[in-house]
Amino acid sequence: MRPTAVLFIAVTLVGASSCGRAGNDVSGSDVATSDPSDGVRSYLQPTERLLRISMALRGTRPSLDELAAVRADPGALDGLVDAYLDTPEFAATVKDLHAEIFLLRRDTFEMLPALGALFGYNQQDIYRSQVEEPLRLVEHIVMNDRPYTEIVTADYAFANDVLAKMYGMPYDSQSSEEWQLSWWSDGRPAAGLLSSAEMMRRWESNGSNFNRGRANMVAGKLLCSEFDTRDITVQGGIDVADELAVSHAVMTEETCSACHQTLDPLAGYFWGFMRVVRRDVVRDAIESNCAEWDYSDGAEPPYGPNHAPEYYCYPITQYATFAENDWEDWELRAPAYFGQPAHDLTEVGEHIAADPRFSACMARRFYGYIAQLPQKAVPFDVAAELQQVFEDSGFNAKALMRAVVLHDSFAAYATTEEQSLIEPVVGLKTVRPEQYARFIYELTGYRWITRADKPGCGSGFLNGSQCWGDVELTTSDLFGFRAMQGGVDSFIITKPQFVPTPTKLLTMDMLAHDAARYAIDHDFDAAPSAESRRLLQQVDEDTTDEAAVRQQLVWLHERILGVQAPNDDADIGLSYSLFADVQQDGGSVRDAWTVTIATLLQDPRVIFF
Amino acid sequence: MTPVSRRNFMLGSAALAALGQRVARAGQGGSRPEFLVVCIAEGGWDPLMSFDPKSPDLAVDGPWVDFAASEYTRTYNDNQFVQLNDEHRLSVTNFFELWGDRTAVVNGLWQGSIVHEPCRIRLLTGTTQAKHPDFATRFGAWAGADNPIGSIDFSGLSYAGALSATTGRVGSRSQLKALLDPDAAYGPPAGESGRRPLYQPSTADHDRVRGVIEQRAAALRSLRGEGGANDQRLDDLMTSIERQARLRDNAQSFVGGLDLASIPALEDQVPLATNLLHKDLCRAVTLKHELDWDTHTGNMRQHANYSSFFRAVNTLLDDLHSKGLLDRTLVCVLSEMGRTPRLNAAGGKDHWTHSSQLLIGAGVKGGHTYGATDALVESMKMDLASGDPTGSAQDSRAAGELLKYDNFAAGILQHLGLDPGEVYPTVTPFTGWSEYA
Repeated sequence: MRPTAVLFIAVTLVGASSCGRAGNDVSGSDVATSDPSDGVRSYLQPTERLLRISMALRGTRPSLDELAAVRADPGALDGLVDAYLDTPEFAATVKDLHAEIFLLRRDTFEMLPALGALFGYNQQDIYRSQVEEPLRLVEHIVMNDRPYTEIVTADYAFANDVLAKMYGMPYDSQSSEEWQLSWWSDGRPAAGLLSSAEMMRRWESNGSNFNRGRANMVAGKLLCSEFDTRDITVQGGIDVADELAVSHAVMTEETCSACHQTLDPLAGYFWGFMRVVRRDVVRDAIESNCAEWDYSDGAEPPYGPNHAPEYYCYPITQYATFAENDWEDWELRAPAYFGQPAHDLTEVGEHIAADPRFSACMARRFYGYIAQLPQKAVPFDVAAELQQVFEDSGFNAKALMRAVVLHDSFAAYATTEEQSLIEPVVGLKTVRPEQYARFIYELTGYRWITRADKPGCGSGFLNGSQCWGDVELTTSDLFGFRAMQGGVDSFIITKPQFVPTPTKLLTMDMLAHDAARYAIDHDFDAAPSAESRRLLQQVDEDTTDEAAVRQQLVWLHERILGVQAPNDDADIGLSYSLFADVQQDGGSVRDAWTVTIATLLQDPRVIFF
Repeated sequence: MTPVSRRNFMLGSAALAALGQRVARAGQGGSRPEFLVVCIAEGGWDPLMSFDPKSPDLAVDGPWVDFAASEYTRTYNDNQFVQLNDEHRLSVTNFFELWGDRTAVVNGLWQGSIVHEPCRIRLLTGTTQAKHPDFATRFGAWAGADNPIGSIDFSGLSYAGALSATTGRVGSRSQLKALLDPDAAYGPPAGESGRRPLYQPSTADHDRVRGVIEQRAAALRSLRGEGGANDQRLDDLMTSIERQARLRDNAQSFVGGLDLASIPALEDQVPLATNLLHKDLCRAVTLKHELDWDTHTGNMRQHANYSSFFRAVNTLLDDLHSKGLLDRTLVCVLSEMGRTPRLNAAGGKDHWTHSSQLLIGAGVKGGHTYGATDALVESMKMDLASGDPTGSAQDSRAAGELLKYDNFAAGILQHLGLDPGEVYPTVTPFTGWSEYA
């Protein structure tokens, strides 16, 4: 039975283990027998810390030069962190983080059809374009050191050729840049992500939901103050199916108005996003040849008034300025931002940017993502400290991320058992599917891609090109293994899983062996010189000399695990025994290297960092 | 599927008894359930169409709105008053004919939310947070220590939490097959030829890799264990390594039934699931019906949904019975929410926090409906020990209490043999339906 947690635990309470461990079978000069400790936390060695930061920020290992630099001078860490924050891999991490916050990457959900103006594209093109649209905006803001608050205030957006056709966004098709700065041209207020087509599609909340889902998204994702986790008591015969009855109830019933007096005014700003941008609606519109609806005979469009097919053909008219005040028809509370007036969504964005809950929430989310904690579990003092850094930097996301990864708690690997009750942040981190994919690619050049099309997927007019083309299996749920590796599918599985599961290990094993073999075949068959090889720079296919093999293993251990070890180290010996055993069993040299490298690629020090 | 007649069913049971097979129900001096099947109608079913009928005289929109002529009600067994329609939902009739006496209908479960995911979390975990394991995962981890895997999720809806090392996901399109059957592995991308996987480890390779990883995990523990979270994380890794190997070793006994790259309908999941249980490969499975029950427009779709769903449920129960498993299995047929009593302007029904669930099989005091909703389809208070309704939830003087998601989950855990107090220390389990109470 755990003792009751008390806040006033003296930091002199020390577990017997606080001075690190010695006498283990896995040595290596980076792991001292006595790790730094302040009596409460035990800290990683500098190179281990570098590796953890590199994986967290980029999903890739530090280079050998970087490890050597930090080994020689631990103070070099700070400069490397700054360098990491300017890499494409970090940009990918930024997008991963925001995709998880806003649950954007859901390939198991319907895509808009590749018909009409989008005929000739495939489902992968459409999926990728749709989910990248809001993520490109965030990437641009973060990587160009713009104030992070622009994610809710930006008066621009990003488009590629697919989106330009999908929503009629300005785009230079002659340019070599696939993704270009653009803007929405249907009259919607400019408010960064709050104006995003895909955000509004993901957080669909029209119809009888009266945009409350979108308001909940704003409150929950941006302010960490969602409504939907609260108990909802519906009693007393309120006809929840009657929109007018609900409107009255949320104004007058105590149990309803507690939330709705704030929720509904916030929802009031989204009424212009009235169009239900769904696959079947768009498909039906294109099938009807996008003719303007003839209202003269009194018939309404099949999906309801104001949902005429002409709005749903590419380019889709997602926003309707005439609908912005439709909340009045339902006698709802007037739009407001938590009691503060705001003219439109643009001003709501400005309010959010100025709201201290926003900076506090994003500080929590950034830290929680990196430390692999729910944002609610981030300790108050850590959150407050990071919020201050964030605000003092002028809302520079890189500065926030820098503070996160350089925070003492992130440099620790364990605490005393007593301390762990009040500081859940410390501990081994688990490699995420996206990180593992980048880790594998950076080391081996291998991407786990398959042609996902079923026969006949491209035939017929109405099928259009419903094929998916090439799909990366580590980051797909429709065909691949993202959720099975502990990732989110953004639809049903909305929280990552950091406990290593049997299916995660199965996935890693298959990928590790394929990637290892891919790299080995490249190194022995295609690399023009030893220097251009990816992994096996010190041996050839006919190298069997134990000393040479061990020397190669020394390099591989450092490159893959980040651990420097001498030739005769026990852990090097373990890898060598594996190499020799495969050969003894009749395996070729390539087979032996495949199994040995694959084992390193799924080592516990890869699964955890 | 041709419905099995009650006569044939009874004859079948007699035949089994003649063969000396165990047909006595668990709980009648027998042991607790050994297996658990959770079968989910995701999106929110309309209990007025089945388990919780109301009179057309009330201010509710029941199924008679769609098919007045063919709707009728009937009482089965003790007090199972059900809404039926042989023309449009025959499989529900078949269900009560065949399995009603093994079934506890639970009406008036209060979910406390009208949002899908919070409702699903509450129903399956008995808590408001997704970080907690659902009861299928808990049971699988507890009962399945010696099985290749504790619980398997076909649905994608399972919450595994800290017990993830004991669970496995099949994947939205049975991707597990691609991981276990080298002949089913995904092919190369466009423009590339050659086989995949690029390297197929032998059994000896797998054993060697496993041995090295286990040694290194032990070494990492001695270096970074320190007790607490890290040790737990490494324990989980070791558990998963063991489970991974067991899955591989037993793969051929079940991967053949998986169809890679197609989303399996519930009727396709059923034989896979019962096979896994029958071969003792796991202790719990979670299944999901493939149709969308979230009928905000066109509530009429619920008829076809019920028809399809209960066809599959009947198949499931029949399959379990024919494999000698039904007396050893608790089957939970669930939906995360109900639907509003009245239709909305689009002819659909919206979310409703008061729901109904079914519990079937081992140790269930079947043939009875527990709990109730009132004329407004709102949950009534009940005596959690008996399941008898006691009064309106709005009457503070009425005895009993509202049946909530935590009472419900706690009762299931207790029925399965776990201690609900460890998970829900202040919650009274709902046990009226359980022979083990």
